[in-house]
Amino acid sequence: MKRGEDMEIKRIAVFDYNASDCVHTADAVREYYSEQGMEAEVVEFTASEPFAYDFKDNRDAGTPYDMVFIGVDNMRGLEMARNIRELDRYRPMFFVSKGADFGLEAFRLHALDYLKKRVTPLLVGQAVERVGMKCLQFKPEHFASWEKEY
Amino acid sequence: MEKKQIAVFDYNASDCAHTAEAVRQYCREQGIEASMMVFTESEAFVCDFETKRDAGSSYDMTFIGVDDMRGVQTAWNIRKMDEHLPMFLVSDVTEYGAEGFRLCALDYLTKPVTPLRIGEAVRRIGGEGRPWHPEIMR
Repeated sequence: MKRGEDMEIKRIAVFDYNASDCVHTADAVREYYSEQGMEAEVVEFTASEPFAYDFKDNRDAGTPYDMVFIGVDNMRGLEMARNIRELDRYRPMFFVSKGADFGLEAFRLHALDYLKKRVTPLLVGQAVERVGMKCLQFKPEHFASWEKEY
Repeated sequence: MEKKQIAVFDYNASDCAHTAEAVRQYCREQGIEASMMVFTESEAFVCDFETKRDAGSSYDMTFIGVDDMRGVQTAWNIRKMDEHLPMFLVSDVTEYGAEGFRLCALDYLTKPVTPLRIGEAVRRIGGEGRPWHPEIMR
């Protein structure tokens, strides 16, 4: 099936500095969509620069990712999430973390969900169902407040 | 305009009063008519919620203080009764943020809450709020 025909192919970016976790999350996402009988193109990134450039290029080309999963185990991961949010204020974003330390930041960056590692297809399903809720859109004024507070 | 029904709960009475005042001030600034119920006891809050639910009504939104696990437990008790209630967590610690996502809270406000932060939070309400899944249980 080609893109645009009958069924839309979801384009999803998975970023994690930890390569093994990145593969695991991406596999869980693939498995979820496969279980749903849907096609998904899942792109994995383990380095920040290629991810940021690819994300920006896709955005500028009018083919943005449908959603991004970002591994946030430390401040570097959080910085990546913040960079992505700066590039696209509305893109559905999910935090993936081994701990519970970044929940507050996830709320402030308007992440849609906070998934604990290791991610399962069930968790992915619960998370992606949150996409499309009008109330979760990121607003520029929220970003101003975020910057002020942190 | 219909009066907004708002519940504010916090075990810490002073924080509870502060949050309620911030909500009141926000509503005043926005010209929103609100009827507010303030609770500092979990049991009273849950009972009131049950009574409202049995009468077929509910709050338009609720602010729940979660400084410790007792507050988190109250939030879970409320969430179990109403899957779609717009819920905001208010806390003086950051550690319950991840729990906030499991509770499908719409925002996580750090104390002391200001009318500006209330405004940012309530703008997240829309549609039916975040869908909550019974299977996301502890």
